[in-house]
Amino acid sequence: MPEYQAKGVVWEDLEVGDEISTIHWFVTPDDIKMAAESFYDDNPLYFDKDFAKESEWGGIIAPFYFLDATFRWVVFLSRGGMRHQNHTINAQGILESFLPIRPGDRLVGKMFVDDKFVKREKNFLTWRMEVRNEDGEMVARKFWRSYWTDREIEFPKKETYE
Amino acid sequence: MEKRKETKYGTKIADEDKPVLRLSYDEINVGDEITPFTRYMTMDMAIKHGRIYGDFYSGHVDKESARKQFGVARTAIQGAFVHGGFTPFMVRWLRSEKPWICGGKADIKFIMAVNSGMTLRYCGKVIEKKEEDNKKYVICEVWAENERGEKVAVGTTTACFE
Repeated sequence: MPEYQAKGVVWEDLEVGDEISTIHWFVTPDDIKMAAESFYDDNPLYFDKDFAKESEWGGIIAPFYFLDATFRWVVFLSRGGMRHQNHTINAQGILESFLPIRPGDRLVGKMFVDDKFVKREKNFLTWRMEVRNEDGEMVARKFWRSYWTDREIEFPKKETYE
Repeated sequence: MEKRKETKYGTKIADEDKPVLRLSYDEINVGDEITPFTRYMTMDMAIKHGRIYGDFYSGHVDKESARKQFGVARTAIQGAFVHGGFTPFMVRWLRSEKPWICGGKADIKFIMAVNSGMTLRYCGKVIEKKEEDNKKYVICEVWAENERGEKVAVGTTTACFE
């Protein structure tokens, strides 16, 4: 959908069922540590090899919210060569985890437009993000609903040396 | 007094032969309160969190953008970050990641902006237990409230037991 990029994606452009982009992710211990740090989560299971080895998992696993650190909707948009034009405000997040994610996993994430509707004259849109492992099993899924405002984002201008 | 294992120097140490305590499905009852979890929200958290998805311009990390995005010149903590707080909240109560990582679910509605400087208290209670497809689920009503007792996020979390 390269036509979105020229003006920025707006709510009206998106149709339910649209597949926005795909992200391939080879999970490293640093990715997992960075996710935990960015959520200020001090659980050593996510970054301490020795602690994790003694745990019920036998090694480091990613936190429940890993998908929120690596497969965010704005990242899917930018990977698809897009950006959103207007400010959005979060309304609801549904996150499901089915299988543990470990260092070395090769994940594939896809994002779709799951739903859009108008409520109290506000435009709402729900993204659906699905993450699968190399065996094709779904490891996590997220539905993220936002209210799309009519206020345009002022992206920072690139500096010039004229 | 309970007899403790000790070294030859008389230092009392943990007995590694004892099983690790974790909440099981049978130990949880409808009406049980989940141990509250407190988290202080700072602008540094939002900025650091923003780095993972390349945000250096939005109302989550910039006060002037916050005025345009949310109508108040105070940075708002990302919804995903507020959502992420339900993970340590659940894991500390369950004493295990397993029911959370393997089949867990967090369905959270964001009902109020969370600004830096707030203190969030994550709370909840068990509202339902059910068995479906050879799995056992514990469903909890959860919310996060600020230091004034105003709810900022509400929803349900589900822990899954094999």
